[in-house]
Amino acid sequence: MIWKRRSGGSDRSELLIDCLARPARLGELAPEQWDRLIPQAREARLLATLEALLAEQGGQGRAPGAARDHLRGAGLAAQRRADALEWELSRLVTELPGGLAAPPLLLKGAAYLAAGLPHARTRHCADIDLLVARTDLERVERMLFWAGWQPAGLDAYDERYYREWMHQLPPLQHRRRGSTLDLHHNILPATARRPPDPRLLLDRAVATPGLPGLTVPAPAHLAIHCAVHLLADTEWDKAVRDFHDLDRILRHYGAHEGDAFWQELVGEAVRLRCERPVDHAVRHVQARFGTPVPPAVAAALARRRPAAPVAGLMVRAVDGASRPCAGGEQPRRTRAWRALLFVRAHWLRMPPLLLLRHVIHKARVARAEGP
Amino acid sequence: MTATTANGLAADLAGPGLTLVTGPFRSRIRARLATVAAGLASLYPPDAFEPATGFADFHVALDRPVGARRWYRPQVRFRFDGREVFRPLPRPQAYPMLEWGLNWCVTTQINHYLLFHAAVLARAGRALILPGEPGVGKSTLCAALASRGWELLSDEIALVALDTGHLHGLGRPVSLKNAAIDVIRRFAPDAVIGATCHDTLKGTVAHLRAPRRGALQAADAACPTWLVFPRFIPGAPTRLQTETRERGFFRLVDNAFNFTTLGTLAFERTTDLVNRSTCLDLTYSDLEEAVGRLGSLRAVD
Amino acid sequence: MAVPQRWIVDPRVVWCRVGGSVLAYHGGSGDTHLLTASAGELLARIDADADRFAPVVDAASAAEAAAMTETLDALAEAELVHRVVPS
Repeated sequence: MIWKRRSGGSDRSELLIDCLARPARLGELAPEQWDRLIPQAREARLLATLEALLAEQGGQGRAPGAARDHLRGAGLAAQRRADALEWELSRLVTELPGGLAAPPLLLKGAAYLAAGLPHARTRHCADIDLLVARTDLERVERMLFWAGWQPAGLDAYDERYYREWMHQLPPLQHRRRGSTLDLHHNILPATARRPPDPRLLLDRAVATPGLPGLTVPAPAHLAIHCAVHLLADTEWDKAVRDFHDLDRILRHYGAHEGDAFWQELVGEAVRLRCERPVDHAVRHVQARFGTPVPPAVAAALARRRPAAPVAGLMVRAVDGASRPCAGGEQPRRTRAWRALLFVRAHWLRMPPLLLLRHVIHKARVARAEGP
Repeated sequence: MTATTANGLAADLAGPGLTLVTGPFRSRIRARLATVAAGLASLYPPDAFEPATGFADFHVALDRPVGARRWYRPQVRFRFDGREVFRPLPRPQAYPMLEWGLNWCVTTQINHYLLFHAAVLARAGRALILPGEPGVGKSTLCAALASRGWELLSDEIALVALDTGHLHGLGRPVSLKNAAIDVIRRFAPDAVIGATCHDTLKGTVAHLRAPRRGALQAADAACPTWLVFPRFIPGAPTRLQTETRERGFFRLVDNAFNFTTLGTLAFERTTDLVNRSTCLDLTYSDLEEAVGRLGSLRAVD
Repeated sequence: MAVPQRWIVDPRVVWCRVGGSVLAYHGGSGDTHLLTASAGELLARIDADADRFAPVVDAASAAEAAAMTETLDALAEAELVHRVVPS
């Protein structure tokens, strides 16, 4: 393997990842370790996840009371958020038009919840992501508008940026309920070099029993979208959480559907032209979270891997950027990796000229809004 | 044992940091500013300071912004878990910034208590809760009551335990603003008031040291008994009137920090608190009279 | 004769007597509703007897039945109760 674990000093920042990978550790931590773990989990929004893992271990009694209090508070808040999200989805079902080319497809957190993934109820999810067929987009947007979903305040440039170049509309906010919704027509921007065909996701979508008219991605698509989103997105503070999602998705469907799931994962990654991000992400969770991936699957995904130096750089960049930095100054190295991935994420999304314009505009706005 | 003189605290704050124990929370603080050490030494009892070891709820630091002006209008920034959560303030406001920052930590990071924007005092284990937005005179009233025999639990944040519904002390000084500083100096000449800080976003501020130690141990909690909505109106006569419990509920929820976050549990705790309390509406202009009226409250049951 | 309607209280709803009223909290929407004492009583009756509560049958008079229907419609509007559609 090209990527090597750095020895010595990296232990501190890896505490959270180690605890996610080996939850049995949670029962053995000293107060000083909890003192580092809580801020790291707070930064990654994984406090409620840790509470659930600690409870599964039966190790609550061995954690300091004050640390447990933070986990409990986060657990209560997560429970309430999941209830609120379920309620919001039950409203949304009544607000969508009928007779669409394809039923709207939930993505990410809302999809995990609707698909009944065990970790979804403790997972932090701020808004609803919905994918609709390109041909349905206008109708869905109009119907939602009349139901109270309106664009959250954007300037004209942002509006155009979203509509012309992105894979989603500007975020919508419900006038009365205050919840937010991202309406997508693809899982990657139209300007991306290798945009996947969103119809492939819609065609194999799975119905949700409690939410007539809404669907969730097929298990392999859930995993693929998680991987693609992870490597194409720029929210690096939450990268640990996204990797944890992928680990949970792979474990869950790997255990419940076995070979059928793994075969579909490889096949669909190729069909959606996402082999490379899926390969990167799967290798990463395998190395860091100990996710059980059958060797044949790892080998099949690796077949389309780029030349060694590029692949090695990617793994190191992902690894470096996703290190938690809570409790101290963000290490310069982490910052550099995050910057590198930010550029890379935008590079994949946009042709170079657009990228330049976007960066210049954002820089101007930042200066205008600065102190 | 951690030193508790301003000099000793300054050395700890600039070095390994120190732990400030207030109510159920432990804050790990680092700062290289003499005003912060002096503020802490004058406003907290010696046993509130512990060495920087073990688990802490909050990790905060006050320091100079990177590349900031060193001599010309120097600034101070507040960091939580290593992240800057506010805009920097002028350096002389470092101490008030620490107090505001510690409040921010509780109101944004704590969900194992139900939190309300309220002053809380207690007498013989019975809590008087004074909810209110800034500007209703809640802190002044709170400082006055605390200097007349009421035990101070908190001047801005009511902590309601989720399992018992009891109110817990936050163990922090009272923040006084503008005219209230001199009002309290006249009202309670023995009061210990820390350094005055001018021209902050809230005007002039100074902190009143808790006259007696606030309920420091998590076990010291008070039962909700009186829920009083105060309002200072210049020239108004003192009126203490019954408020309906329904209105009391909604007025209290208007002052909640995490009611929405906690949902059903928050609803159950809040209705329980309201049902256990006598709900009253207080308008006043004469502090002495208002304190007298509240002092004569008796528990019904 | 119309089939009597049956009702259930939404499982996410909790309620509590406060002063002279009843406050009902919906754990999904996060809304708190202020109910009259009689609406609160109706909620409690439905909850206690979820299998057979049919208010129009249980009402003592036509006027009471009408009042109950009106209250139930308001409770249903707030999603505090649901009509059970006979299968």
